[in-house]
Amino acid sequence: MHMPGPPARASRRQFLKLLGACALGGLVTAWLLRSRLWNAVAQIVAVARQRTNPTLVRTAPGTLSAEALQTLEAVTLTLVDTPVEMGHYASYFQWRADNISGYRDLYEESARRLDEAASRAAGRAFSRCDRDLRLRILERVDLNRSGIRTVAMNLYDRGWIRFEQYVVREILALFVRTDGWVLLGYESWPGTPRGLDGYTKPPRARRNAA
Amino acid sequence: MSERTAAIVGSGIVGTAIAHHLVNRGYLVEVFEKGPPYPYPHAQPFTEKTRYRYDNPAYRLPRTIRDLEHSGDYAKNPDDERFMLVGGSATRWQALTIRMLPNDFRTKTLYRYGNDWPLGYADLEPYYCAAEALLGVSGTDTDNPFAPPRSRPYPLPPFDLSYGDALIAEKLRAAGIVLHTTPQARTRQAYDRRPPCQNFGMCSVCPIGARYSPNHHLAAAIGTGRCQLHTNTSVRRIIVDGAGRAKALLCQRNDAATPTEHPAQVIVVACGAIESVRLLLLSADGPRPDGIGNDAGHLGKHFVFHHAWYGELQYRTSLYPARFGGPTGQSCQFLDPPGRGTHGGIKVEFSAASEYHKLREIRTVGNRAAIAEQLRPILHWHPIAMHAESVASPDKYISLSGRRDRFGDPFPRLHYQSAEFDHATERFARELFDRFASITGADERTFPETYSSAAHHMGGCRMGLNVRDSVVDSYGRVHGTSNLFVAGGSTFVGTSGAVNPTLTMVALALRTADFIDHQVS
Repeated sequence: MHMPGPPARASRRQFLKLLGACALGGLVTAWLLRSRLWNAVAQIVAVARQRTNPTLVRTAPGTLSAEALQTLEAVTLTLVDTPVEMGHYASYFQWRADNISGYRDLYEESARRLDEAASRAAGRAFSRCDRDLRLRILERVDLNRSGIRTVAMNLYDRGWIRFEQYVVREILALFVRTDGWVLLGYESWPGTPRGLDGYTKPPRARRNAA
Repeated sequence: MSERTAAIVGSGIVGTAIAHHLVNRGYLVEVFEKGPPYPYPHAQPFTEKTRYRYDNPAYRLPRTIRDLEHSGDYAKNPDDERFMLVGGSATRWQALTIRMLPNDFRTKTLYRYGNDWPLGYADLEPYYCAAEALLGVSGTDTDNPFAPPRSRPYPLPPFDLSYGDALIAEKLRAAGIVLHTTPQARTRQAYDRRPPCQNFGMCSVCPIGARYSPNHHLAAAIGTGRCQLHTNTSVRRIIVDGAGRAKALLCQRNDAATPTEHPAQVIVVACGAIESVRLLLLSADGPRPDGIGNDAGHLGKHFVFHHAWYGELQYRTSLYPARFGGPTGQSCQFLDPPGRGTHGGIKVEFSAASEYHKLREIRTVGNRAAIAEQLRPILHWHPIAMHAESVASPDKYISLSGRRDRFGDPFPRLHYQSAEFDHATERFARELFDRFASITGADERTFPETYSSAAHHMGGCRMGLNVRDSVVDSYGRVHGTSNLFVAGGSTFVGTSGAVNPTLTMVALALRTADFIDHQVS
């Protein structure tokens, strides 16, 4: 006949003690792990964010040189491949250089790099190169680059990523909100006084085309 | 005889309307604004925003002065919907000025939800006219059979439907749905020293003052020499004596070390629903340990948003969006629909502000044709918003947070959890959206997963008949006080039906100002 083992009550108590100790240990370990892991993950995310989206160096604002402005205008015309009036782009560059930390130096540095590349290729400033050469110099612009490739590129050429982020993308954003509408057939863009006669009809160019 | 004096907390559209009204009736008025100055006309901020794509931090208070803790199911940060600067949120509004329907004031009696207001449409109608005159509203009701009765015509003629709205209106008309023009506080013609609209677009900030901004009348009030504006000044407490008379405001410049008292014969709190509740809670004292006007525990309760879903419809034909900055097409047909009570009413609007949503980043450079190809889809999308009423519930309230500002005062805390009524309204909104899409032959449609409050914050200091059911009476006077008023969306009993609340806020403000002028002083 099978004899009963040690009293079940003692065994249950031991089991509960063990369970309690395990739970407590688990909680402490989880808390430690979580805080450490959390910190580590947060650091990685912060570094990755900085690498993929480099912030501007907060240098003093100031007047943009005529040479840099000319280069930026040439960059604009090359990127948008559309005959546009340069006034509002020039005003944009000058205002940001004058008013927002970091932009003047970014613009000057970007212009210097492009001029150096143009000088190596053709012995003249970027703005004086023909369109094909300017396109070749700008062919590294890649607005579809993956995050990982951006991080990798940042390791050896953060200046280029800054150029893409704060010059190229901003030029295109300005274009989309202004001349982009003209490219679609509009007479002018939101932000300019357009009067109240036209908005009830299609744009003139579209009417004429129809 | 001593001068009559009033102190107003908040320089937004409501505080300014009252200040302007009282100054013109001989009061000396002080206006206290927590936020910074904001240039008027708004040419500078407009230029910064549109030409230089710059969001000027000078117009935003630091987190040590303003903040809001929030919880619940509202996906956005409601603090971002508050513009705390001179002129308040109406420096950047869309300026839709639509009246509530008579039935919106009696939802409990008629539909068994919410609560009835302590005043009716007929009481407010003359003040709606006055508010429309003050704001310079352009509109007509001749194309809107659902508009409530009015005793005076609109001050200005309406803006026509845009090309895209007109195309859609034609298709809807064939199916028995009315899409009509939109009353708006935007000058169709020159009005009250404001130039006619020149259609700059990007109307959330108008560079010439054609779209109404409170700063217009604030400048006029200050120009009389009888109105003083204190900017960057936080009002920390209302000091009320034992007899229930508000004596003074305790104010502190945002950069100062100590507060100062500003006495006045009449005090008006008009600093938005959330901050108004906060100030009454912070002003708790011995006889009023739970805050001023909170004897029955209603302060902070009955807070609601509008629930707006900003969807989009795509058509094969080009609709040429963004050629007018303001909204043109609306449908008020579903404000009071069959089935109201099981769900809320809805205003359908074709919001011009949303017409830019489909602007895309260009991903290809140096190729004109490819760029045009990337931009072209915007011509075919048309925004459509379902702007719905909501209902108060125990899960929507404002209280004080554990976090504190630089003065040591708790920030507000907002908890907002949709009620079953709201879910039913969302289902109705989706049905309506699909109906509009089908009738107008949309090829594609997108309905957002989450709603927006449309920056419409209402309730928290609900008006009512007595202290047992509310915080203030129909004039905004706080129960138990003789000269302390709350004005603005915070006094709403629920939503303003499904229509935009600002016109009603201004109408109520003018009614309050009249009452102060005739009854209090």
